[in-house]
Amino acid sequence: MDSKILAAALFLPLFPLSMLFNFLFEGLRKPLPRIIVLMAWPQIGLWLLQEADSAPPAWVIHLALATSLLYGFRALVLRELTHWVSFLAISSWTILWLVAGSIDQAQTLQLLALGMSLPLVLLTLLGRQLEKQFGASYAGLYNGLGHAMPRFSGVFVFTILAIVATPVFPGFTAMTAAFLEATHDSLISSILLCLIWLTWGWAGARLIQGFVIGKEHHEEIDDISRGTAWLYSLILTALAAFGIHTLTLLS
Amino acid sequence: MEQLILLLPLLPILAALTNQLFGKQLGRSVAKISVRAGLISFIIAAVLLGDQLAESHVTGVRLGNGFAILLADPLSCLMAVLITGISLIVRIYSVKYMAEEEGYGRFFILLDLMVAALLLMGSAGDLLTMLVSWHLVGVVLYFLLSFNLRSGTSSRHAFWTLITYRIGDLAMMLAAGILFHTFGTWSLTEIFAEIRATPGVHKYGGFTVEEITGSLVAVAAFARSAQFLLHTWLPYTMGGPTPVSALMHVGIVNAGGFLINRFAPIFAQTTTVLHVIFFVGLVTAIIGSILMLTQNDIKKALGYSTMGQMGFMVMECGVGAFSLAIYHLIAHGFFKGTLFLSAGSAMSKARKHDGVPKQDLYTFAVERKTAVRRQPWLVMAIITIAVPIAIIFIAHWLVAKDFYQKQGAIILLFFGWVTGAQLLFTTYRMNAQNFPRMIGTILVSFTVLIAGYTLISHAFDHFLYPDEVFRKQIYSTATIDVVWFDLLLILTTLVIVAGWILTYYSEQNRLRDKERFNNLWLSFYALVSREFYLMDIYSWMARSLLQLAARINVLLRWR
Repeated sequence: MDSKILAAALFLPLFPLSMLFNFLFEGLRKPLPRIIVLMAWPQIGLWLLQEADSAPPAWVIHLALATSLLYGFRALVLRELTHWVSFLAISSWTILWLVAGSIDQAQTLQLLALGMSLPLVLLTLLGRQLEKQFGASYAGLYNGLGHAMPRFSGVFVFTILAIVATPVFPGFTAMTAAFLEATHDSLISSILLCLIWLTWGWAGARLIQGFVIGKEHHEEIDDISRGTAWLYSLILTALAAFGIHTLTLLS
Repeated sequence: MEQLILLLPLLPILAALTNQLFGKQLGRSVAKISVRAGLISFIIAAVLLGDQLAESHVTGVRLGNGFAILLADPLSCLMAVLITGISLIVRIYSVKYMAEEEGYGRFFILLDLMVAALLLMGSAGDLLTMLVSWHLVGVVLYFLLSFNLRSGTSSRHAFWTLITYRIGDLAMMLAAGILFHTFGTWSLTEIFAEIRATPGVHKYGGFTVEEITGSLVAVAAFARSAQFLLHTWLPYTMGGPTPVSALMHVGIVNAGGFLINRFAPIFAQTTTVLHVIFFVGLVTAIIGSILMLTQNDIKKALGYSTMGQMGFMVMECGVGAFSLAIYHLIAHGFFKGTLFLSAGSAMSKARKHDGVPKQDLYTFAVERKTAVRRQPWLVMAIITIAVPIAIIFIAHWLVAKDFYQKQGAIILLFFGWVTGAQLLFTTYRMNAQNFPRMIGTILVSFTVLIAGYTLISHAFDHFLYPDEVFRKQIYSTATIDVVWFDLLLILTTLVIVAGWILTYYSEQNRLRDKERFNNLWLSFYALVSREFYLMDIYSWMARSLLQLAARINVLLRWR
């Protein structure tokens, strides 16, 4: 097999190399290196994939789907935000193995990957906010943020929606493109994709319930500033607009 | 004129955006903006429907480079009037109903987004727009149902809804993927034209594309319309605000019937899918009705009543009466909406006074006081069996002389007969002061209902499916072998008549007081009151999956 494809298996992390990525990502304590990794990692993977002399063999695609399902499924019980970001990053980036077969324009593909990474970056930053406030970003530890931190919660919910590939965010385009590729491949691949998407939705809803829903605590909690909320909202709006744009490319 | 269709989803989106951006300055006026947008949308929808009624035609508006198409056809215009009309009523009702609630502005924003998603779904002329709107309805509904952010229970039930809807979304996504893979276009009009031109030619996974995509679209419809095994979310989502329950039961659950109609050209080319749809609808109708009868919570009973109605609607699609399903969903929408919106005040009044008149019906049905002097059984038997069938037969014969050649019409006629006969059967032992008058009233009401239903559904058939050949094709696809059909009809009749005889026999011999019968009855009641243990099974499955995920995480050291 092409060595570049082998290398790409680390950057669009296939199991068991995905464990290595997880180890590395969780080892980074500061948000900035995490953000850099989240942005750059899949880009390197895609570049390697495009530079490879041959297309990835079918078993690699199947392994990518299996990896995505494994991490999506395992994310169901995760409560710690860094873990969650890391698992969802692996689960969504592995989908790019399929998307690469459906979208042949390198630039579009890289922008799509960026569109999938950006919500993960936003969630990392939001997690940092929680760590500053409460000492940890852990679902269920302090629920009821919907009332205590309404601006934070609004941004948090939309970020989760973007990560779990809700229309019209770029993740949705990526999943649609993956479905198109999977239907070329086999019905089994399509069913696997369905399961992956189901686990994302499930994991996302559990996270929202763990943070946003419930009775708030009585102590004073600082919400994010109006300006910060506007900034997050602008980025999410730009992501949605970009998602719509990429959808037009599928037709 | 067709450009107006663009405004339909756009207006509620603009209202939601305005309320989000200027919510603080607007205060309680957010409701005014929402209601006004709703009113304008309703007027536009009515104008578009009027245009279609004047002359039925299909036009589409393409957006951008043609990636999104909004259709203006009889079905989309009819759905637009229904959605905008009912959502306008819900908005007006919510202005005061939600006044004391926290998150007043958030509620109207979510309501507007839901209406926009529904309108987009109703007019979607391509698979991508359909997918986007289909997904968004589920997502926005999740947030509407968990509107009370402090209620963990509401949120949990909203989550069940989301997951069930996701199952349907994914089936829809698969169907879209296969259709695009086969025909190379997202446009529904182009796909349907190709299917009509070359039916049964294209294969996928060993099946015809029509068969496999028809099955997947049916699954999407089942999830949305709470069909058996995918229904558990519906009766439990009453924790959300009452206007949301109303909108959900009136508009959102009906989407299954709409979807089957939208994909009618595909279903017309299938072989077994419509039979499966009929069976699922039948089971849902029966189980929904049984579960409804055992509820002591008015809103939950309404939830199961919706499930039964949805079952009947899907069943109508299964017999090929597609347009009848649309008429059914509209009729159901109006009466269920009224029930939901008046449930609160009814409960409030009932706390002070039960309001139930001590009349014949009450003493018979609630106090179980039967007449001492009964009517002659032979006369009653003749009225019970012969009169309903005569009324239904004449009503159908008036609109279509050859209706008996359609199995679908026979099945619906059969169910109409059972309902009419059941109604008359129950009056046999009723303690009525003026019995002939009561029977006369029942028969007149039944006649008006059947005649109205038949005539309007006939008009709907011609409006939604003007092509007679296509109409016949749908009925013919739903047809099964005549021997099997007759056998099934005889068997069903025997089961129903046996049920009547058993009821009569058990009442005559006071079986209810006998221990063996009582134990059997209690076991059945336990099964029904636990809703066939489906929720327990699903909860156990979910817990097991979560435990498995946790074990894998531990095994892989959380890496």
